[in-house]
Amino acid sequence: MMDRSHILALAPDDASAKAGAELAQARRWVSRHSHPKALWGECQGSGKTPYLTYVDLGNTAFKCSCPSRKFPCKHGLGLLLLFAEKKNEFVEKSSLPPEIEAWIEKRAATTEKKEQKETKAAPKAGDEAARLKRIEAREKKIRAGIEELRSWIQDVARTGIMNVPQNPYHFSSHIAARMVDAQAAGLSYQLRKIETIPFYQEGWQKSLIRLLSKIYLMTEAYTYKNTLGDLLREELDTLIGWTKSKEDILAQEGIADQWQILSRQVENEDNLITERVWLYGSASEKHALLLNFYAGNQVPEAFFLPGRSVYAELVFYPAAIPQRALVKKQGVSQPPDLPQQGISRTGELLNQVADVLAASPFCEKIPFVLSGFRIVMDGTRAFFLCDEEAIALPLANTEESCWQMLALSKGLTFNCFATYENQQLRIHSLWKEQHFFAGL
Amino acid sequence: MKLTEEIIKSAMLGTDKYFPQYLSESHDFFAKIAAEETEKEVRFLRLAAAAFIYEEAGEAGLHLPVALPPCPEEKRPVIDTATTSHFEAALQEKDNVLLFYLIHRCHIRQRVVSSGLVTRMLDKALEHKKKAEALIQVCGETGAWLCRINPRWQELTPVPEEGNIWETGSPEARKTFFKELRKANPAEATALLSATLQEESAAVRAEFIAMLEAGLSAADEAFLTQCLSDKSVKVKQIALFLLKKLPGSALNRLYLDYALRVITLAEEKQFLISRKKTLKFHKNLPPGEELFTSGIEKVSNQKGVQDAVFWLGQTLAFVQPSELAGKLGCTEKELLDLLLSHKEHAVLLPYLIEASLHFRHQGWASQLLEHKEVQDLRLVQLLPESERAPYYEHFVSTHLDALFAILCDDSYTPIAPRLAKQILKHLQKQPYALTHQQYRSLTLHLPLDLLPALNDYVREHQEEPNYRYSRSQYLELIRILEFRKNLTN
Repeated sequence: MMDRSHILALAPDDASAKAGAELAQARRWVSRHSHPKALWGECQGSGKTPYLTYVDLGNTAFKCSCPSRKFPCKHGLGLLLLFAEKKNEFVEKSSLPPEIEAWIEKRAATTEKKEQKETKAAPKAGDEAARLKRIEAREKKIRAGIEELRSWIQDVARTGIMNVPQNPYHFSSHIAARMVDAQAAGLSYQLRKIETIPFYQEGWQKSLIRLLSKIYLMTEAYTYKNTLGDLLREELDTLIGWTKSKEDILAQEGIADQWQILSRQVENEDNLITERVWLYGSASEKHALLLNFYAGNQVPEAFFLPGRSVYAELVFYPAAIPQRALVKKQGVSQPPDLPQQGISRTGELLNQVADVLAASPFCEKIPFVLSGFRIVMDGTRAFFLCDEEAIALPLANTEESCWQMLALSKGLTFNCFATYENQQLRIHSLWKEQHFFAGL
Repeated sequence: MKLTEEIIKSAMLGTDKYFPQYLSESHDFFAKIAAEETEKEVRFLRLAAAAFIYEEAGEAGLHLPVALPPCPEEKRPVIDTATTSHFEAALQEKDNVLLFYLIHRCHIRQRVVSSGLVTRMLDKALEHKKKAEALIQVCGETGAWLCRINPRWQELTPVPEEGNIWETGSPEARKTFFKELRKANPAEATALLSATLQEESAAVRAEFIAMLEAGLSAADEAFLTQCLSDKSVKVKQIALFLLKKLPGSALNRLYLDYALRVITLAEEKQFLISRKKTLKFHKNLPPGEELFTSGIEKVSNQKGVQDAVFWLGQTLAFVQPSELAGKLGCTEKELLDLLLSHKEHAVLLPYLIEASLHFRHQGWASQLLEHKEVQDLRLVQLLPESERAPYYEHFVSTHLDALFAILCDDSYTPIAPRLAKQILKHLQKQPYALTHQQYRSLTLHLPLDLLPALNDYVREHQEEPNYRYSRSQYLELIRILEFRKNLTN
């Protein structure tokens, strides 16, 4: 199930993907070995000594002796790609060489140690007082920032939004920066979404006022947060910009399950890489979002390949609708067991949306596994996802992606993973029987 | 009016100018929010937040009883996963050389690409209109279905134009129509063109008249003669060219008559018993004004060329070899031998080549190619395919670029092993004779048997810095040959 596009999606940039693809030839490798746990090979570079490349098949991790600062390097990608396409070019080994075994064990030990460290870490008594003082100071700053934001939104409501499209960036850039100063990064993030509204398209008015009123609702809720339930309050804190320590989250009990990797999206903005991995628990039937950020030269410890599955224990961040999770314990990557049954009626989906919004009006993306839906077009050639009763919801995917999905499904029904966002559905991956297509 | 519409109206104008109305028609709590004793903006923002969540939570979906036309079942088998990977790689790396080869193979093996590739292949077809047909074919029923429902791809499968294609069709459709008509009924094509010629632009007139070369016959003479009075110089030139090479036309007869007047075939005794044929040129017979106006140049721009021989040469380019030989009383072969052995043969040679090309004379073509002074690839093209390879070998070192264009065609016919070896040998000495893209294209035409020889070459020159470029090109050749060898379908 590890196919070319999934592997190349791991490349840090297009150049690495291209170079990796060129190295996916047996001739370029002096030696190629495989073991159920790992791959390793020697690739002749420009130097005298070939580069030694390892791939951990369990957790999809890479190691290479080349001097490249990119990760994974072209050699790692090339070796994995070659294995995915031509397994028979590899010499199968029943045991791992000591250095690779040591590497895999070391990685496992590091992960375990980190998990233990993150789970067991408890603040010292002296630190606690300082921490509370810091929290108090920050709370003050945030509240002051929120007051400023509320005044700004009220001013906008008073004067009207008619002229916003003339200069949408400057409209909110100042107040967004002010929220960063007020240590309410979450609010700043919400305000920056104004820049993504397509002001050249009809309907921008609704998107803008909807977003502004939602931000205002957040500030209202924060003002009266003591009246909210614990989970919604915690979710709100996160939305405003309070961060929870990983140690605290991982200290909680998680959900162990066989998690199907249904989507992986990577965004690169201002040298900050944001990785979103959506998982679906086969037994728990829960959705989980792994949200990772990598700055500068930071690299992921392991890769989640869409279309594979992994046995793992996940701990969810406390929220009224828990979605974001951390990996507490992780097993090896396995072939998938894709859900063949999901929500099959638009009405049922919308009822669940209403339930989610009732529990958390701030929820932005609601994940669903859908089955028996098909793509249709209306008279204006806009794309919709339609159930058997002809009840449809508009699709948020790009036109190119919609045509790709039509080609894959041939206009027939299919199973898919989609997120409900802003009264639209965005399909992330679809599958028919065991044929899985991601990156839509 | 819906509450959300009221809110948008208020948001646009500002609450100072307008506050949402008709709240009593909505849920009670909207009226409650509106009645709160707070600032107007606060009430508005609370109303807006509640209204949008309320609207979203009550969303029922859109009843859309529409269906796309069904996608027909695929009739041909789909390519396997490995080949799909090769297609993916070629598309991702924009490697058109390899992509078109893969398409060709699919076509030969009657396979279609997997549905995940179809949209990108159709986009590729939009970029490469000339290859569009092959690209659409390989997309199978899914591709044809998508072309029917996506207006952007509809142009790839033009529906037969209704009505009169000749009058209202697109330029391409008109050309195709005329070509077909000329093939099926040459006289009707000429009549059609003659009737509407003056309605066309000069460039279009020239284009269609040039298309008369296929199936040119005496029936076209009147029309072509009429074209000589066209306003466009280009049209006139094309018409004149066709009239000159049209056997039996008045102009062609003028050329033949002049050639017969100038050339005399004489027989001389040799060694008492045998007789030897010789050609004599009468150099004091200038062509008439009519010939000069038809394009015969008066003076050669080359030094030392006699005017009479120059005039004769130009005339011979448009005289059918069989007709001239018949009138002179010898065979075509004899005639060419005599012309080539004449002391003025150097001046005549280019015109004799032209004559072979104009009248597609295979006999003269092969005879000329045997001549040491003749180096013209166009002549090789007149020979049957099976006979061409040995002649191509003469052009490897001198005309590799032109030879490459002929050998590396869209049908991927393998180059004869001997010729392929010779090309590679030449490339060892002149590695920059081809571009990187040309090397890649060449590999798709090389016989697979060359693989060991290429490997040997790379091994032999592994450490030599002077061979770095050719070694890297050879490695690429090996990679593609291995790729071809391992292709499954």
